[in-house]
Amino acid sequence: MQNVHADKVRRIATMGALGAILVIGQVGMSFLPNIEPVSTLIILYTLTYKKQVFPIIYTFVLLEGIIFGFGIWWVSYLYIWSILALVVLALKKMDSAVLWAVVSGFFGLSFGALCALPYLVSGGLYAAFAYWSSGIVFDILHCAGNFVLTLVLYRPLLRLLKRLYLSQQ
Amino acid sequence: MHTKQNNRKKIVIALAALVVVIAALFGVYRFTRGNVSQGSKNITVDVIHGDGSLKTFAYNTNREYLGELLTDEQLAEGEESAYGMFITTVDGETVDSANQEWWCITKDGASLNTGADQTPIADGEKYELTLTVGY
Repeated sequence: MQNVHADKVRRIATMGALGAILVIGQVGMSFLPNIEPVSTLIILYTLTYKKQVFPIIYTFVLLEGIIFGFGIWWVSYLYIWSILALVVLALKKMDSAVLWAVVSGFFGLSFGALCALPYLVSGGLYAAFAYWSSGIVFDILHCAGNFVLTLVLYRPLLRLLKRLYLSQQ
Repeated sequence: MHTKQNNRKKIVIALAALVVVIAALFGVYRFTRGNVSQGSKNITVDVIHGDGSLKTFAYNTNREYLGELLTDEQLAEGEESAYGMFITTVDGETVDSANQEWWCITKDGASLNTGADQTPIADGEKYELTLTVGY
């Protein structure tokens, strides 16, 4: 009984720590325009923790809101990272660093469009289009950053996360 | 052997698709940017402050982008953000981000799809900078 309780606590602590790593990764690389390790880490977390990735994602989303304020951009965070996790779950049998780098790259490219959805509701089609089109160059940068980071980190980090996951089973 | 070839084929197709989408998006970006106009131009900027008061500024400039004009003439100050220049102060009034205030840029009353430093200016144009509350 006590062991079950301890396992639960350890799992919750791990989820919180993995969520905090997402925040640290993003804040730590925020001096680079739209280059962040969050997409890569969420892909790897999802491949390791499967559906248990969602508490990690929403820990991260909540922390981001607390740190940067709950603006309209935050609304997009409520779905944007979950969409990535759902795509990863759908493709989870794939085991190619290059293909995951491509998925990560596509996610970077679509990031501005996905973030524009709240502006579609609040400001209409023109506002959403303006928001998206003015950030296309940054979406391309995001794509390049995601592609390279995923390509480089996919194998070593996935091995590390799988080991962490197995040690807690 | 067959699976390896299939994987290679998938990788090539995926990479090609990524490059095609990047090229298409870059095309959209270029298409939605305006053309830069060279030489001297007269530009008018209306500033609508938080209290609703309006001040009009007229400039003659050789600058090519609105952001350059506003900072050169010390009408506006801003910060560099992932989406270009984010205007924080106009005509001495600074936004209170805690109150979700920001400077909205319009041209003849219509929204722009570019930031100040990405907006090319042309002779005779009129812009408005309005202190807006709420993101």
